[in-house]
Amino acid sequence: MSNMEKLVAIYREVLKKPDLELKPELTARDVDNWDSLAHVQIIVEVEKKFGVEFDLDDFLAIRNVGDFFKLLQRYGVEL
Amino acid sequence: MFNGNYPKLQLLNEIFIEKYPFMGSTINNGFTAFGKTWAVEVEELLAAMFATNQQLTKAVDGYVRFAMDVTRRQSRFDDACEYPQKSFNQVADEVYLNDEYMERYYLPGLLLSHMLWPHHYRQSRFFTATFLRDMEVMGAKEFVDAGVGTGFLSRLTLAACPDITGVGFDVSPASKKFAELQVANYKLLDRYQCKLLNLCTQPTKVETDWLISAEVLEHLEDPLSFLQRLRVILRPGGKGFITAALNAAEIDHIYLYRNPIEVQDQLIEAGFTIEQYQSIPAYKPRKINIPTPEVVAFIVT
Ligand SMILES: C[S@@+](CC[C@H](N)C(=O)[O-])C[C@H]1O[C@@H](n2cnc3c(N)ncnc32)[C@H](O)[C@@H]1O
Repeated sequence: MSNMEKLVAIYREVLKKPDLELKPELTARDVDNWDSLAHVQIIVEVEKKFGVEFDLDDFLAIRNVGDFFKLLQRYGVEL
Repeated sequence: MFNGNYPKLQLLNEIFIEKYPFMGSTINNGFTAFGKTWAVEVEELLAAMFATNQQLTKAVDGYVRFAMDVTRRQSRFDDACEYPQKSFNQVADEVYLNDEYMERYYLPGLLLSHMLWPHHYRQSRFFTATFLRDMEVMGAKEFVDAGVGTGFLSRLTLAACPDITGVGFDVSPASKKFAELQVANYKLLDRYQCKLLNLCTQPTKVETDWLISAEVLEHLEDPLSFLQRLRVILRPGGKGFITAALNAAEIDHIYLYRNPIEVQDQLIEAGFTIEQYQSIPAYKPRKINIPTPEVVAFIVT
């Protein structure tokens, strides 16, 4: 599984949307059960899967999925 | 929802939706669950504490960081079912004595959580409907708030009882300052003082008939000895409102209470008699084998 596939699987699982397409412009506004708990669960799952630990300020700056891609790359995860 | 009646609340809603879309339903959820009374209280609080848009935006940033930190710690707790090992001194350095952390994140976060987290708001309603009502009916003249934090309960008490005077204690200079600010912003400071004191280690001669201590027990290494000290502060025949957070992994939670019985047993061992209690989960249990965070409040004599 590529890193991108792993990431898509995490979003789909946490948001309970098996067909979710992970586009860079996607935000919490576009998905009905993407609340703060789901937001943190995505981040915690990503931390576990990719062995990184984000600074809180970094993950608060995430406005959409594209921002998260960039953040992951900054933490050394190739997508 | 707003009809032009709640300009501050409306702005709060816009900030959430624009800046933190994953929290975009917070205000709508509050309105749906608690209605107009809630909206009026939030509007008043925001106007008193965060008068300018800039202040409100900064407070929301602090709140979101605080709430995300709590949620992330809770998510780790779901796996470990233990709080990470920390000493009180470690927590004091990292949190209570760290003015920057307290002023930017902890205090605005905690204050807004009193209104925005359903279990916190329900607990303050329980306080108002039971303990505070007794104080009003019995014409309480003075109270002590042990571990004031934001000063939220001190302020509610001073506002409800026009003749009462109060003393708050806290180990954190930032909490003392913030509690005094809140009380002053509601024009109640002439009946209140807040003192810096570590209630576990420093002596005090204070006594009261009305004692409040909300969400302090879980912050301590030895909550039983703290309760024994509170028992001495509360005069015989007096009444206390004592609460604790259970299974709630926060940066400054040291002592893990797993259920209300553990708190009850310590209260009894310290010499209190329990009159009533209420326990409120933070959210619906997610899985049977993962403990849900709760707040539990006891009214004791
Ligand atoms: C969660 S806050 C309390 C919440 C507050 N009662 C309210 O309703 O907003 C915990 C507070 O307890 C204070 N505290 C912790 N240990 C203490 C101690 N040993 N003596 C005095 N204050 C203490 C902290 O500084 C912090 O302000």
